[in-house]
Amino acid sequence: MKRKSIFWYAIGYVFFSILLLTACSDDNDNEDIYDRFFVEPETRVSSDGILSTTLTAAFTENTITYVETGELITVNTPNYEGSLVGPTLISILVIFYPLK
Amino acid sequence: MNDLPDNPEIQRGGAFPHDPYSTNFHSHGLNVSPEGLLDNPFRHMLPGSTHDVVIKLPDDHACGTFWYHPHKHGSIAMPFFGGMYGLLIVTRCSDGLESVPEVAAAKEHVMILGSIRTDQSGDVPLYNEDATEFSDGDAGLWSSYTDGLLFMTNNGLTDQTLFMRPGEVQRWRLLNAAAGLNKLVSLEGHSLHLLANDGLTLKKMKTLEVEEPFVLGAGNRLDVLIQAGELGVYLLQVADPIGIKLSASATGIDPDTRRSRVGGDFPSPDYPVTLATVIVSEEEMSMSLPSGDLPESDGLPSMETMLNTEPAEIRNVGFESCGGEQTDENRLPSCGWYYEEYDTDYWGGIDFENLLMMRNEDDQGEDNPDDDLAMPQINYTTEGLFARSEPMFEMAAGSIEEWTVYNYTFSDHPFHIHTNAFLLTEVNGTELEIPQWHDTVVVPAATGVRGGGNINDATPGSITFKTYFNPEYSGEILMHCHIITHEDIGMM
Ligand SMILES: [Cu+2]
Repeated sequence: MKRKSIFWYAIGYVFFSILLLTACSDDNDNEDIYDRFFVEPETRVSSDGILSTTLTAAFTENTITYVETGELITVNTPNYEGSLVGPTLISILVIFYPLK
Repeated sequence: MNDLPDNPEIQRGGAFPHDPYSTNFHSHGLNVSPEGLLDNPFRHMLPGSTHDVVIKLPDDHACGTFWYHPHKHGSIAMPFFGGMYGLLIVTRCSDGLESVPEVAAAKEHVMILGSIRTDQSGDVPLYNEDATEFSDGDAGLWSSYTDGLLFMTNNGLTDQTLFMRPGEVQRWRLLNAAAGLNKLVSLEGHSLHLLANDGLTLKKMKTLEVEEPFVLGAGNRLDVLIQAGELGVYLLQVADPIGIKLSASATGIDPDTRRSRVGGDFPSPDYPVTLATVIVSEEEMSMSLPSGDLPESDGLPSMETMLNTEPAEIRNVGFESCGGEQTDENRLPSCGWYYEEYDTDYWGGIDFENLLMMRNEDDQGEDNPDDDLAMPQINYTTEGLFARSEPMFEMAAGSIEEWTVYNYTFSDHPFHIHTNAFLLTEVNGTELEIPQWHDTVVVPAATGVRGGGNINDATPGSITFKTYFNPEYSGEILMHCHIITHEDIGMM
């Protein structure tokens, strides 16, 4: 089994990594309309065996439904990247995987 | 980059939770070095600072569902309350689950099951610096959260909707990212078809009964296939652990109904909690489920090697709890001695009554001449609460060992060890039909006596596993309870 030998996750070096991030971001185009209802975390995918990205930990505000009352509540919580769930980091080990 | 607020200038000190806004990075489940810039939980990243984390995955790393979260001891719980975690997916190994055609054909969804916890105004406040006990009562560590809000989230939301077509098979990657709540997950009208625990494949897919819940312990991941039934609306739910008769757990061995699964998060949710509304609609799809053996996860010794190798060492670990409603008569013999050890000074100048310990059970201490459990004459030599300077065990790199973890408390504690996964062979002394790889397993509560009774008369819950200490990744390896609020006060 051939595998790429170097796979890195790097978190840090803000300016450097933002550049790389644009190249690494994943967008799931051509998914059918039904997928738009179910919200999933942002994905960041490795490219040529390297995933270089920055995670910022900070308090940020988000709104969320409190199901007991149906109210939309603003919460101020520590999190990554301003979201109530951090990005999904995806490392692709084999480049030449047969596509579906 | 740590953009959290500055740590408070005056802190209680001792072993009490501290540096609430310092952080670091743990890659939970990855088989990589625990040192340097890698999966190193001893790093201290101060507010206002930026750090590199560089993780090189070995060529033969297992493909699967792993995750990341902060692991700065003494300040892990609050980021968990805020949703500070994410998934790490290692994918497209030619011999991973994706090589199974039925799995490869399935649409994938990620479901990160969080438990966002705030005070009444939606803030995540500091713990109580003057706490004398572990609770959310007035004198408790979490008093600032009394009557607070709990949001049981799925990818950060409480009102998710997911569409499937009749007959469609989907692969869901579930993560229980709660700070402490073990979740009994089920889908109305449907069976869960289990593929992998903690990112590591089962020998064969295991299908639960229709609506039978799966116990997803805090920190656990589950890769599961769902095949949509007839047109309709079905709720993906967390069931009430009270009153449920079930055999479902990661292992299939778990005969008891226990109130205890509620423990660890305050407050308890109003069960059942909906994680997603699944709508089955539109035209039918013709898809199938896998049969036969699943591919073994890479990067681990074969099951045969693990089972046929004589263990180099046999070790015993115990989850123990002192304090709360215990009296002198109904607490563990270790409590007396450890209360002497963990005194006012240890806790930074104020007594703290709850000792949530992870102890070397092979340290039996000396006989207590009085037979009085409250007396500290029993002289244990090892720490019960976390002390980095005194490691509990020293394992030889490259060895295979057998461990049993006992639970001498009336609530469940999920056991997690960093760096190397382990092959679970027994739960409560009953052998698993087929051993399973895990990195986190709920150690069932003690049984035989009701909670609040005499723990010395109860039968401890237990898990037994074999583990291989990969010599490539030697160093200081943490193990702890994955109820993060327990870990922060020393159950590590
Ligand atoms: Cu615990």
